[in-house]
Amino acid sequence: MPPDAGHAAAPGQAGASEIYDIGYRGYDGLRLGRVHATWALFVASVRQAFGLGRPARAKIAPWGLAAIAIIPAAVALAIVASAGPNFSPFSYDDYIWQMQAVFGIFVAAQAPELVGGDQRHRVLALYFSHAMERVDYVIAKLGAIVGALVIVMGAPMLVLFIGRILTAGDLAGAIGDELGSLPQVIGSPLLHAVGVGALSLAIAAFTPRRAYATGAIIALFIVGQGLSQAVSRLSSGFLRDFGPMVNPFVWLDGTRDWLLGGTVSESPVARSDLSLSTYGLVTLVVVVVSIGLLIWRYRRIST
Amino acid sequence: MIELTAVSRWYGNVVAVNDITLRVDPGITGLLGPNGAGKSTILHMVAGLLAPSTGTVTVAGEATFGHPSIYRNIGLVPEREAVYPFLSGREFVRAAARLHGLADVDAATSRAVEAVDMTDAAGRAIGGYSKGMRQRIKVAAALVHDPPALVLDEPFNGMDPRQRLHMMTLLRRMAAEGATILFSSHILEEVERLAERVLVIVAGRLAASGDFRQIRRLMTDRPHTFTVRSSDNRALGAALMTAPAVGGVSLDDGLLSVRAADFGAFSRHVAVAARDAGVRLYEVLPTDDSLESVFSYLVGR
Amino acid sequence: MTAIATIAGITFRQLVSRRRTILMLLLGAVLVVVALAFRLGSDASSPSDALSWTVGLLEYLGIAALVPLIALIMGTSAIGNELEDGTAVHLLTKPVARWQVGVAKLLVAIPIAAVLSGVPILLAGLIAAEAPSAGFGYAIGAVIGSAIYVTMFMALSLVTSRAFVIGLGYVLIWEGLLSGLFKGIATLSVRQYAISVARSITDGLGNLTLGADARLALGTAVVAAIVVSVVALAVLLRRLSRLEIAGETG
Repeated sequence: MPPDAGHAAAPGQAGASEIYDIGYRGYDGLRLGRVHATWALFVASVRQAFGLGRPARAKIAPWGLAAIAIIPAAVALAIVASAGPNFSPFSYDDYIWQMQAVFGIFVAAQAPELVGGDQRHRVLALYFSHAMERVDYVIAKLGAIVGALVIVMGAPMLVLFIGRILTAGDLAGAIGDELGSLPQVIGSPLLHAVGVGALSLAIAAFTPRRAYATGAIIALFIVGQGLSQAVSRLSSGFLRDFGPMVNPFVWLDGTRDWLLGGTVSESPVARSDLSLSTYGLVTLVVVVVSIGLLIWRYRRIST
Repeated sequence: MIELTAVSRWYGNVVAVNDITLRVDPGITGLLGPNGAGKSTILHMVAGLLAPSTGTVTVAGEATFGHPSIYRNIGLVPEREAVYPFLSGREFVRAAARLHGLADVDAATSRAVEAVDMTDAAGRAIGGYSKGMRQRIKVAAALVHDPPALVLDEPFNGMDPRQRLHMMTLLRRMAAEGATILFSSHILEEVERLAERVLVIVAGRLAASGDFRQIRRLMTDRPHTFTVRSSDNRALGAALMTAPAVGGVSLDDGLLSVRAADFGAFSRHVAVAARDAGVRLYEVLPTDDSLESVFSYLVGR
Repeated sequence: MTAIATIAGITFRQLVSRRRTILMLLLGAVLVVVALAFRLGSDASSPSDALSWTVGLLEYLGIAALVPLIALIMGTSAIGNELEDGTAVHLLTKPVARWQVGVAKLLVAIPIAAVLSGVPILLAGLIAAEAPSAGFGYAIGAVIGSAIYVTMFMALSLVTSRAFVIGLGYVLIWEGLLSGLFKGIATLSVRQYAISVARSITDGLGNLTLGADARLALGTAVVAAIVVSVVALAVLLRRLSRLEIAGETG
């Protein structure tokens, strides 16, 4: 070990000035641009939403909930396989509505993961000092939560779809039958993912504390659900038609009904007097406002 | 006061503390070791927050885990800075005093707050304190009940030199009054300056204990190095090279460095060699008789 | 005794933070607002219709939504926050028996949750229906439900760091989704205990027979509620007494 007491001219000592060549060079190579940066953030965020690349503890919530979302579909298939297609407890139309609690918890738990961490650990400055613009950040995160929700909501639908084809006696005929339902199988998860994802992300983006964000998002769903059940027994009126709108799944279900058809009997949509296009309008407004809020928030946020 | 006997602690497959037996007596003892060596684990076991997997940890003869009564004898200053941000400093110390069941809560609180020099800021909410202030208020809460033993986990983290000096003075005063002080650090200068005794923990094992200079003497398989200034370094160097105690000599930029295995023999020999060679000695400095070299030796073993 | 009081004081100030309280007052306000809207809107409903609708409101939005949500927030924060940010050390390194720490926190968290959900339920019940029976009946149900939920969720927060999400899963999936599909689950559902008690009391006060339609008979509900509470309390105290806090850097 080298002795430390005053030896030859040590760096910093008077009279000794030097430039140290430590081999640092600037980067002259190819730089992938904004699009690539945004795509990379998107992929990383989707992985984050499912706890990939993190210890097992982070995977419990998303994977557990995704499993709970799929199980009934698998069970329904088993029922259909043994008892015939008329005995299915689920159809494409009402699956997402029936399982809304699971999806609500998923987004309440994971949306804060996507946007809360960056604010808490103050890494936004790192993101924005590179090719990525603030808008790109929003696009990537929004895409990620929507993508994650499409996976979680779409997987059970896919299971139902493929299962129905496979368990039918006549394969070719079954494919023809089920193909008609394809818009529902693809469109319904996509629609719900966009509506739920945009709103939840907007809420989560306003606080770095995960507990508050999760609480606020889930409060919306819980109160919404309770409210729609409470007012469902009213015969008419403003409360009965608009009260349930607190629950995002209600206006999403209405929009789904409007665009893709298939009314769910348990949903307030069936009971209300509103025209289906009203739900479509509400969906549009909420999604646009949510995205606007997200962009506004990230434009204004100080890094 | 504080005793660990054949204590081990593991988490699954990871052994954090490996068969450690030690005793901490009144005075200031520093627990030194690299990060992840097990210092925090030991301190948390002493503070009754962790149970040893095997062995016993006692404070004043009483096992620490599961016996809240040990807290009459011990105060802990934890490493994590978090304190209730909505309480004022005084309220926090006061709550500690009440939880200790002290008879005169106000007097004890004022004393403790004054001891850490926080009397002016004690009325403000802790949420607005700086890191150093938070550390000091934690110390106040830890000694509000006048414990005979005080355990501090990385106490100087985030303190500026003035605050550090103040804290060291406080601890020295407490030790002079008979308290047992055990603190951990990975910063050698702090331990060197403050601790009377050092416990070196490396990878969960106790690597050395005692006064660090004496530990250095004990490290006989490692040659000591000295720096010598004299009127004729080259001649002295040549003369020293003939002595059996000297392992090597080097001359750089006018400074003579000597490596010697036997500290004592060399110390006696250098004066004699200089006189015989007709060289004047100006300075003989042991250059690696520092905690740093002791430490890196122990860590590297 | 002073120890419990001191800890209770700190816990109280911790739980009644401005942001959290405002959120929960808002939730309660939703219930009251809906009751008001109903009262002002529906002109032709008879007293019995109004009562029947009020019961539905207090059951679906009150007991099934407001009570568990508020209890979840209170129960998981009462000790969970301190464990997460490290301030728990200050409470645990004092000559105070661990069970006293647990009890102190329960004595604070339960009343706060009970008031924050019980009062809006009472108000909504009094506003929406002419007769006060539903309001009082469900308010008491809310208090009982809050007490059991808070104990459960506090115990849960000592078992896992994701107590909030798991608690949500219990409330929404176990008590909500699955309970709708499998009737037998009602015996293990705090929501049903609260509803059973609420209905029985409403019956008693208002000379009704709601209790007959409840999923659980009052007797079963009371017994099951006691069992669940005792188990939750035991888990809470035991886990607390064995709680270990490891150091950061080791």
